Amino acid sequence: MMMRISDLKTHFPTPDGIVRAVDTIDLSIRDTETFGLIGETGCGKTVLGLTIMRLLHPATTVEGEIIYKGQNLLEASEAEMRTIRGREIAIILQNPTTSLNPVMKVGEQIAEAIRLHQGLNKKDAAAKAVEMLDAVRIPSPSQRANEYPHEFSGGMKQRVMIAMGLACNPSFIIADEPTKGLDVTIKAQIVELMREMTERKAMLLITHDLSVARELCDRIALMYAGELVEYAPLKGIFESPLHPYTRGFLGSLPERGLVPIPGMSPSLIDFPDGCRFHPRCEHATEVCRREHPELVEFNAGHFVRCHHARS
Amino acid sequence: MHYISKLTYYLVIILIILSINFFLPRAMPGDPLAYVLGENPDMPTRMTEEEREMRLAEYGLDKPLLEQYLNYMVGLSRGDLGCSIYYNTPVMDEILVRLKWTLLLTGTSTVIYMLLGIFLGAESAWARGKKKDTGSLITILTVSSFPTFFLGTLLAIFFAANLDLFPLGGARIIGASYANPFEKALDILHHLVLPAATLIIAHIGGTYLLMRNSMLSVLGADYILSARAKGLSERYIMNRHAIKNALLPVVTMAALTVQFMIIGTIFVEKVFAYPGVGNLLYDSVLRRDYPLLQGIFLFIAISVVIANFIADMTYLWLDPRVRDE
Repeated sequence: MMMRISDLKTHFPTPDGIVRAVDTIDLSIRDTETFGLIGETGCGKTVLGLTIMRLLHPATTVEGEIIYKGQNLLEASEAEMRTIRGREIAIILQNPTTSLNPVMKVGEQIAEAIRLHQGLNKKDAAAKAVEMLDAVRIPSPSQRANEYPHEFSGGMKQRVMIAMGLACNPSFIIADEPTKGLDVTIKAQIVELMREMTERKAMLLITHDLSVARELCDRIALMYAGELVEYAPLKGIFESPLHPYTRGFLGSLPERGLVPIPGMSPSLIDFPDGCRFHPRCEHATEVCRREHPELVEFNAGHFVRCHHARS
Repeated sequence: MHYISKLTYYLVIILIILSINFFLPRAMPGDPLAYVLGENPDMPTRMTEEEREMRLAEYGLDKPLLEQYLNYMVGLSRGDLGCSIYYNTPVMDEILVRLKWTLLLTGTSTVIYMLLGIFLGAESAWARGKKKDTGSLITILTVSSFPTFFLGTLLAIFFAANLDLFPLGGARIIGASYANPFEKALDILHHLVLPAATLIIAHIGGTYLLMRNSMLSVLGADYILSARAKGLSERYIMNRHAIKNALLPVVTMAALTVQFMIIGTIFVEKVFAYPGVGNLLYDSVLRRDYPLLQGIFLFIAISVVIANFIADMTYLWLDPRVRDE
C-alpha cells in the first residue's frame, strides 16, 4: 500500500465560518495504481491534494492520518516534508499558466528540483531538465529549455508541468486537473503522455472529467461536499453505479445526453443535515434528511454512502 | 526596433521639455534686472530707461520672443547655454562646477534608498504579521512622512548642532589641504552623511511599502506554491522566485518618482548649504536668472529622461514578456 488516508479532516477558518473542505475522508492507494478523485468544482478535491503535500496555509487545521510508506505525513516536520515534496511525492498543479514562474527559464524551473534532490551540479541538472522536456515530447528541447513560459502554448505548458513533477522520479504523483482548459486533441495527447509516464507509479488523479478518468484510472472515487460518496474499480463505477450522485455525474457525460444534476453543490461551511446530497436527490426520503449515511461496502471493493443503495 | 522607437520617443520628449523650459521662466512675474541691481521692482527704478535697454540688449532680452527662442535652440545645439545674468559667467560652467556634488548626493541616496527599501520590504513581507514586520512598517512610515526640509532641519539640529557628530553644512571643509586622497574622501563622506540620510529617509517609505505589498501578492501566486511543491526552502523561493517578480512594480515606480528625488534634493541642499545644482536652482529662481534656470532645467530634464531609460532597460532585463513585445 503506497498511501493510506484515514479520518482526514481539513478545515479552514474564514470570516464567514469554518470551511470544511475535507470532512471526512478514508482511502488507500496501491503501489502502482491510478486512483481517480472525481467531483464538481468546490467539493474539496484540490484541498485533499494540497493536504497530502502539506502545502496549505498554517492556519488550516488538519486531523487524521496520512500514512505514506509507513510514515504519517501529518506528523512530519517541515524539513522532512521538504525532502518528501518533489522527490517522493510530486504534485502537478492545475493552471500551468499561473503555476510556472513567468520570469524564470523553463529549463531552470525543472533543473532546480533536480539540483536539490539529486545533488547534481548546475550543468548536469540542466542536461537532465532537457532530457525531461524530451521525455514529455517537447520538440527541440535544448532550445526550449532556455525559453520562458509565455513562449509556450497551453498544451506545451502542461507538458512542462508534467516534466517538472516527474523530474526527480517520485513514487507518488498527485495530478490536479491535468487536462483542464485543453482542447480535445491536445487533451488526448496529454492523457496518453500521463499514462506512459506514470505507468509504474502510484497516482492520485484529481479531475471533474470522467472521460479522462476512464482512460487513466484503475479505481475511482466520487467526492461530494468534503466526503467520498462512492468508490470502486473503474468498471464498477461505469457499469453499476450505486449512488444517485454518481449516476447523475455519469448522466452529464456528452454520450449519455448531457443531463445536468439539478441544484447546486452545498457550501462547505454549512452542510445539509442527514445525507449531504439529499436536497438534490430525487430518491430522498425521511431517513435521508435525518441521518448521515455511512460509507458501506456494497459489493466486494465497491463502497457507497447512501441509505437507498441498490444495484 | 523596440530600442529605436524608445529612443525616438525620448528625443521628442526632450524637445518638448526644452521648449517649455524656455517659455516657463519668462512667464514668471518679476524682472531679472531688479535682482541684479538689488532693487525692489515695485519701487521707482533708479536706472534710466536707456540704461535698462542697454542691459537687456546685452542678454538679448530686447529681441522678439520667437527670435530669443531660436537663438536659445541654436545655442543649445552647440552646448552653449548662454550666460548667467547674476554671475555673468557661462551657465554651463556654473552648472558643471556644482553637478558633481549633486550627482554624488542624489546618486548615493538613490542607490541606498532603493536597495534598502527593497531589502526591508522583502524582509517585512517575509515576516508578515510578525513583530519584525509591524515594527519596521510603523517606523518607516512615521519617519518617511516628515517633509524633507523639516527632517533635514531635525537631523541638522540633533546630529550636527547638538551632538556635533557631523558638519552643519557644505560638501567639504573650505580651504582645507589634505595629506592624501583618503583624507579628502573621508572629509567629503563626513559632509555627505546628513544630507544623504535625509534624502534616504524621506524616500525609502514608497519603495519599502510597494516592495512589501508587491512581495505579499507574489507570495500568494500559484508559481510560489509550485516552487514549494518541489521541496525548495522558503529562503530559496524568496530569493530565486519571489523577489524578481516583486521588483517589477518597484522599478516602474522608481522611474515615476525621480521628480520627487529632485525636489527633495533642492530642499536638502538648501538646508545643508550643499554646493550643488539644487541650491543653485533655488537661488536662481529668486534672482530670475533665466539663462541659468533654463540650463538647470535642461539638466534636470535630461536626468529624468536618463532615469526613465534606466528603468525601461531594467524592466526589459527583469521581465522576458516585455522583451518579446
